[in-house]
Amino acid sequence: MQTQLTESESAEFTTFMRDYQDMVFSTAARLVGDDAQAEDIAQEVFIRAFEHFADLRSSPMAGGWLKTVTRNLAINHLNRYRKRWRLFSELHAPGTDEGDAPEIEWEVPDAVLAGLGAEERAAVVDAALRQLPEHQRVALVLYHFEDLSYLQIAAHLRVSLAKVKTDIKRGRAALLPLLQRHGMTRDGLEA
Amino acid sequence: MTPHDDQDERLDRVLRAALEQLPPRPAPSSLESRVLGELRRRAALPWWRRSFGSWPLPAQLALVAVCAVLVGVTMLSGAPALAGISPMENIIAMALTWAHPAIVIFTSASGLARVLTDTIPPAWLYGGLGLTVCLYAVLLGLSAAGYHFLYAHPSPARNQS
Repeated sequence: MQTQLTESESAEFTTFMRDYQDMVFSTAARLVGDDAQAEDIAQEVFIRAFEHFADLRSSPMAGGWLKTVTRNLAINHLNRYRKRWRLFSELHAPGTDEGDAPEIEWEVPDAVLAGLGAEERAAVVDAALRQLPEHQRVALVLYHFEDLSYLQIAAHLRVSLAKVKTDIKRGRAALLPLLQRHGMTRDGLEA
Repeated sequence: MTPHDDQDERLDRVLRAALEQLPPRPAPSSLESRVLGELRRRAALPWWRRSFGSWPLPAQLALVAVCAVLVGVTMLSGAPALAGISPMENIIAMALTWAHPAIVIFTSASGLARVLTDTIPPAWLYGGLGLTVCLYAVLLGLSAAGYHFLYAHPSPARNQS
């Protein structure tokens, strides 16, 4: 395990960090929905990466390793936070129970944000994700950005498969109007 | 396939198209300096304040040896008692030595409670009890409001920095 930091290693590790820091920060920020907490998580990820830098520096799996560690740290962080506030978060959390709301029919458009560039689309999507309740946002991010299956998400979050499906379904239904609203107004979600 | 499944599948397709190939968000410029600063801080710590895995090998071996000796001594000193060399009454008496002060404290506290209930008017006692319940309710309400405004629905301004 590496703990010392020489000048040459510092330069090499800085280059390594620059290659991956956007990916690590994005993953953490989309999961926890808070930039300051995401930066703390990203810092911890890179400190762990430094401890294994001898193996990671030339490994083609470094990106996957960093993504997995980031995802696990972010989920642990959310679980810790949720436990701290469990009494209040479970007092009144509408829509968190499985099957407690009727299915609603609505018109699904052919496309959303189709006219935007990738960076503008990313900004809109990230802002919209932050507006979702945590349980929906985390499930959606793990499904759409981390490419995990329903079963893998259920295992990661230690919830039932049915809850994951419900959260993703409702998360999509909540996300769509947020994205559509931007598409129609082009003013941004936070305007 | 139900209409709901069809609708959900279409929604999945539309969102996939909107979310695919999104560029990552740029990390804050402070992240790099924070990580390097923390690594330097940890590297400057003396070895005994770091995690056990990063201790020098002789120190790791020495600690393991000391622990093994301590465990051995504890087990050897406890063995005669368990083997019946020491009378069981002595062992029980030693185990219960902590109980005496606890009994004294409990007796004193119950005596004090009896004196208080005899001298303080019942209305005051009920009032005090009610006040305590009210204060707990206020604390619970403030914590719930804090959770609602700070955590469950945090201000978007926090994320715009």
